[in-house]
Amino acid sequence: MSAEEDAADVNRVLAGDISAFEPIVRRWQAPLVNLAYRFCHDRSRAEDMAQEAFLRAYRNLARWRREAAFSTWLFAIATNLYRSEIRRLPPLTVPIDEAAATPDPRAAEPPLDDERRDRLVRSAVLALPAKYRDVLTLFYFHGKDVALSAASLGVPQGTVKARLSRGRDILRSKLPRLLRESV
Amino acid sequence: MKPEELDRVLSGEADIVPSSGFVASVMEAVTAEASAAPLAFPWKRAWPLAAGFPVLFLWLAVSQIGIGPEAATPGPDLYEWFERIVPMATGWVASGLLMTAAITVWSLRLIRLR
Repeated sequence: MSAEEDAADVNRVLAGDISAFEPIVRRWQAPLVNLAYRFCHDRSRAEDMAQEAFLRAYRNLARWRREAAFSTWLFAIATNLYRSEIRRLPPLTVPIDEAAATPDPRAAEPPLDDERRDRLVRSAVLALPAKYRDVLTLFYFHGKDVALSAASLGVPQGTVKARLSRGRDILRSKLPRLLRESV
Repeated sequence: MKPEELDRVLSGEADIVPSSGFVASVMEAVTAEASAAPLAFPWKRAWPLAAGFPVLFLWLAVSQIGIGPEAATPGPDLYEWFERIVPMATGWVASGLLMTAAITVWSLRLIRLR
């Protein structure tokens, strides 16, 4: 249903009815803002990035080739934009090697609770090298769908699988030290 | 940390809800984009070039082919002139093509970054 609504709204926008873009924004605002949030972990910046993604989609609407779903095309545009934005202005994380090597001044605090540990794991994903960070972020955002992640990134599914495996290995090898040093 | 535990943590990230003004803000930006006047053609910069071509053509016609007031005197051989100029022009054409390709690639990258 959503795919048909998307196509109909796109047709109206292309025919000159700008207001038809609003239902598209309403339908896709949450996924686009959340995807941006996973890249930067900053709500305000995530909304700015999502707004820019919608604007870019609007500018390029005529280039949507209907062989792929509108959502696939929209996510590819957003992913491309978010990756360049993060490259331009990285989130406030330190590279994973440095993070593991930095002693934590709060060593006297009690062991990590689940929430803090989960936050640390997610921050560690952002500190991974870009190609692993992007694949891990998209894979879990798309509900572990390799095909969707590959379409968003514009790479073959095999590449996604290989980077997933390598990214998880790096995370698993660094996390024990990170967690130990954070308690 | 076990693989399944890592899976659980990364899959379980809570979603955020976009702020209430988000749609309005996007639509405002879209409307501004749509109503922005298209870039005007830079006639002021283009007209000297546009005027230059007919002048160049006329000059070539007068000086090389020999038309005009002194048309009675035979002009230089056009074929000879081309033979002389083509080897020199090849380098210029090649560098012009290279420059065009470089500018095209650079512009496309700029558009993609936009």
